Amino acid sequence: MKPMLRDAIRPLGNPAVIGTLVVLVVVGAILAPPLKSGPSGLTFALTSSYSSGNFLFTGFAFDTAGAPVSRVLVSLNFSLANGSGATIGSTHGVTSSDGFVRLNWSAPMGEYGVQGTLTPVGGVTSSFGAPIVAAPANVTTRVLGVVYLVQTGQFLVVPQLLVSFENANGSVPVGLQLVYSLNDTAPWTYLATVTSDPQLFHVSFSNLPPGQQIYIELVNGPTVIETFVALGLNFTPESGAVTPAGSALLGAVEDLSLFVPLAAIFVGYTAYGRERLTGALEPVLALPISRSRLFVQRMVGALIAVVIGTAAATLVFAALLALRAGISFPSLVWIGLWGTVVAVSVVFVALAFLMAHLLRSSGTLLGAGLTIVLVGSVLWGLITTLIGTPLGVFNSSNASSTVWQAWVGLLNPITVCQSIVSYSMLAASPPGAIAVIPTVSPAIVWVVVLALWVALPIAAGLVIAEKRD
Amino acid sequence: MLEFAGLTKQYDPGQTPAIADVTFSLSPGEVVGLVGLNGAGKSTTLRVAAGVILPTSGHVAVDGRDIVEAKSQASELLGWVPEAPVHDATSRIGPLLSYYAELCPKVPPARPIELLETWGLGAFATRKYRTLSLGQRMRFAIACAELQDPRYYLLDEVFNGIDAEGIHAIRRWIASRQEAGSAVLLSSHQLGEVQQLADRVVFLHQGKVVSIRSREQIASVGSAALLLTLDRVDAAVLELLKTFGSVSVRGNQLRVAGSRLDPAAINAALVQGGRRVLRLEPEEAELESYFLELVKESA
Repeated sequence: MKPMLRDAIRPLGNPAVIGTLVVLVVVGAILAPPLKSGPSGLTFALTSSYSSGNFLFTGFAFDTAGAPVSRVLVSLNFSLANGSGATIGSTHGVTSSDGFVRLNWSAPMGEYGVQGTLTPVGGVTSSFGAPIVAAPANVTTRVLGVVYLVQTGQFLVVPQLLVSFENANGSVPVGLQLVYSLNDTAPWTYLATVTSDPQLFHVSFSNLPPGQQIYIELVNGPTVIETFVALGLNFTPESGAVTPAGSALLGAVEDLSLFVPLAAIFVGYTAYGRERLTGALEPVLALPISRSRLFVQRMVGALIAVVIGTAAATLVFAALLALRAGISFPSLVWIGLWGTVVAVSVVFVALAFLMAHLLRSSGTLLGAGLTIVLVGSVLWGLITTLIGTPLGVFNSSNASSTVWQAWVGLLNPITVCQSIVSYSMLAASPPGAIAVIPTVSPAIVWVVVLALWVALPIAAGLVIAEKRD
Repeated sequence: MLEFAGLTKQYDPGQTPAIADVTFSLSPGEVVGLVGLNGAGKSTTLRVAAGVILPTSGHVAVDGRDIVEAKSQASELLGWVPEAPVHDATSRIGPLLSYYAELCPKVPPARPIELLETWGLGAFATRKYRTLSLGQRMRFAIACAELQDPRYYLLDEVFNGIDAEGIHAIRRWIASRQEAGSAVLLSSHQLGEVQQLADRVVFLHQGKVVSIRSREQIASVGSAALLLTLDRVDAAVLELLKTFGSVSVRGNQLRVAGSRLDPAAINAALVQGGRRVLRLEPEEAELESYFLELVKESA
């Protein structure tokens, strides 16, 4: 164990590694573009879904022209109430470049009403709420799609509504119908027939007056089984609750796709590549240790360094952000961020180890690593567009091009890592509930691909180390 | 026994092998010199034997343990000093040697400190490797090779960059290792050192073993030239000396060159010819010129 710990300490002592981590932390926490203040016309759509014990709140921020608004910190304080009205928790998030913000919250299965406030930094706090409606004895509503839209005096499009049902005995009341109305009287509009799967419905409304309610009933022919939710679209912008501007968590997270692979390349280079390419590994090889064991030992050492180094960087980052923005994110956010950083790092450490056996000098290894990172993070979209357009597989207005890009993304370790992050964030979301992730491949595909991106360089490096020296 | 059997190393396909079919062996307690011109394949031979590069074909067996197939076991018996030692430049040599020791299953924890003291590096234990002088680096490399107190030493140009005191210390150390029963394969350009230390010499030329000579044979072939100072120099003396080798004159000093010079026979011939020999000593042997003559003779 001792040699492995020494192998772990060596990369941590590398000024390049430390420097990269410091840059990551400083740039992310202090120098990253500050969050935009919420413009007066900012609009949020917030949906929630529920699966396997997790609520996923998905917000979408867009301006009055309907364009996504990125890098806006929203503070979501909410309560999940089961009748007692007790506040269960609150969370924060930052809208990504596509305008979406996703916030996970765990809660046991049950019937909930959701009430809370949504605050863009520098913007106007909006409150929302859904009254809790007691379920009849024979039907338990399990998932309620709670959709809230806020705009100055006007309701907007309700993008989606996710519902599923089960009876008290656990069976699904297949065949019952859903109808909705803008008031609790006729005419009722047929929405769908209940199936055994969670169902996603797209219901569009426009030009609804303020204070409009939407009623959804579960019916069996003329018999009303339940008016299971009345969407209280009674948003009332509150006056002047302006939160202080903070730094961008997600801005830094986006920077991770550039800095973490670079740091990982440095770690792999320091842990193995530099000595391998300068000949400094030869005195070690002259000792009673096999090439493969040395390779694995250095790899484990590098991963220990990654875990320790990134944990420290994440802690410092969290502290800096808290000091600067006065925002304390839930620990799960940081653990998820840290896990993502480790996952990305493993891929690039493995690539650095492999390149140490394929290339002839330190300069070419670092150059190749930098090229991979730049191509994968900065130029990838441009490259796939330039290749895909003449091939006819890429068309910005065609949904299939997203699928094509998703498949091509399997070739890019950075894309793979980003997708893993997205999947981890959306783990609680039923298939199809969130349209951001292309449905070309389920999460397991990306996990397998990530595993391959880790395993293949390691396996190839091991074989080459053992047989070609 | 350290056995080299048909050892061949070709770095790149299509290129001439660095070494080809190298075959010889060392027994415990023996010092064997490995000499040859630059690029003859000496370092490659030692690097393959040390296990730091893989042979293209052939085998190196260390007491029957193949350096490729049973590397860990074979390496326990080997200590390698490279020609130009390269270690992690940013590491401090004390912890670095301890790290090496931890990779060796049979090395006690105190051994690295002992060795640093032995080689005069105790005060430099906290210094980074890159700050060491050439001589200190070589001494550190020897300390590394000695970690396991191995049965076989592979020393590659171990006198390079070492001052006179250091050379003397290394010479004594090699002798002590030999007395302790270890075998030493000594690659060196410094033929004088090889002559002093080696029981046998393996001559490499263009990657192939061209000759293997014992100490006695070395004595007869070891000096490439003799320097003589006579009371007077004339044509008769020159004619006499030409029977032993090529002669060049500088004042009353003469230089007789040849691959099979016998100082005693030359001295006797001069005395019989009525000359007073004021000085007769072997010229410092230059391996390359000496070896070129040997190669010419072999051809």
